[in-house]
Amino acid sequence: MTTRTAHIYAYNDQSLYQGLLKNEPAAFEFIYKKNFPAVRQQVKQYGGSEDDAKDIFQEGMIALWNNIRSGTYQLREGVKMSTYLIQICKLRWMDRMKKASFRYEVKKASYTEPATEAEEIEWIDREEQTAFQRNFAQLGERCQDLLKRFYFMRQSLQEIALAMSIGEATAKNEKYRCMQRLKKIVLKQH
Amino acid sequence: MYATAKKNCSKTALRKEAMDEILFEKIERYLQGMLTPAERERFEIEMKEDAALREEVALHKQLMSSIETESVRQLLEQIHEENFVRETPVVSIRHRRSYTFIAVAASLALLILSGWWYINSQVSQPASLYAAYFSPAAGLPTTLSYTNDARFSEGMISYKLGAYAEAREWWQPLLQADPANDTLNFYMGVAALADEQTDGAINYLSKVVEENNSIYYADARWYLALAYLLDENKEKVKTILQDLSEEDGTYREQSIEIIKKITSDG
Repeated sequence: MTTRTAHIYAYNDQSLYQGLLKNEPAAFEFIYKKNFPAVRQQVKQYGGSEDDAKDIFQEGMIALWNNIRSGTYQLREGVKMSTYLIQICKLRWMDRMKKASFRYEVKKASYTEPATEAEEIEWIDREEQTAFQRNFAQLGERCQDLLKRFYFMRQSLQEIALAMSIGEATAKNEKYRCMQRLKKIVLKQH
Repeated sequence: MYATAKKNCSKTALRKEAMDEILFEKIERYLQGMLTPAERERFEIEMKEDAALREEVALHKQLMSSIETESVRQLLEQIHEENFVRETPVVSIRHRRSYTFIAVAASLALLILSGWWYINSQVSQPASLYAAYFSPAAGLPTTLSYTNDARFSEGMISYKLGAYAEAREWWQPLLQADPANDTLNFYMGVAALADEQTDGAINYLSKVVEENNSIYYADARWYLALAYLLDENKEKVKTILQDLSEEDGTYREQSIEIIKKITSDG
């Protein structure tokens, strides 16, 4: 009874960092709700739409998570994770405005460059991920569910077996088969 | 002849698949850092000598990462959908140019506009305050479940996936067997609240609160207050939140905020 997980409101930067590292949905939700409004306001201020804001913010979230995963992002004294996230979204939006300057010409002049972070930000390759998204969708629901549970939610085979009402050995074998199918689909694309 | 040949062939295929599966597990354990140092060293030597194996490992690693990223993308989409998308009726007037249609469109636009204004003016009303503050309590880890009952874990898995009705179905019989169990009452309450089933939520959470020595005492009062908020019972909300705002807990600031909002609305 003493093993309670942290409540959603109890996140600080340290536990958020750990939460994102462990792929805890509640950590993603916490940081999303807390920071999306600020990024949306910023993007709109510089001529972007609601959809632009969502795109940029989600890319920023994935980059943050990726950089935590790879160790590129480290918690530092005095730099809040929120500040970092908002900052990289700003950088990303600035980049996009440069590439599509015709669309945002009016607002561009008034844009001040944010102080660039020294560290590298690993942005996701959107085309690659969209291609994978399509491939992954070709697997049945069941395979998708099983693979997400194992690789994302980091559930044990025992937990997966329980959730899907199958034996552990079956879960293990199904995971293998699903991955083989996914490999085939992916290799066919190249 | 043909039949035997085919049989042999499928036997070989089976053996090959078993081999593949062993290799698959090994690659997976290698990538998850689960091999012993000796196994690891041997595997790395094998990789050095075998280009096909290197490719297989690289592909596996890439897929693991892509599955994670895709899961994150779906999760973010879901979070966005649940928190930042307000449904508005779509009116298509593109191909309709007659004045009547324009008139209809204009009055619809007016209607939508006034609807939007109405929604906005409702933001500080109790029900939408509930929506702004409610977020389900983190679940218990199912690997370390406090009970050996698989049904509790099953329910907890559903709960974590956001399938609250399903979770309640799993837990209902357990609660009948143990009606005073605070963990069950607490999660039943939060699950009911997540589905906006106010009466159920108030009923379950009140039991936890009445007990008052539960480890869920503070959490249960917070969610009970949100349930009353949804029920538009401002007096009860204020009484509970007043207490929480005077305690040094997780809910202090939010309690103060809500009290301020409902008080300023009269």
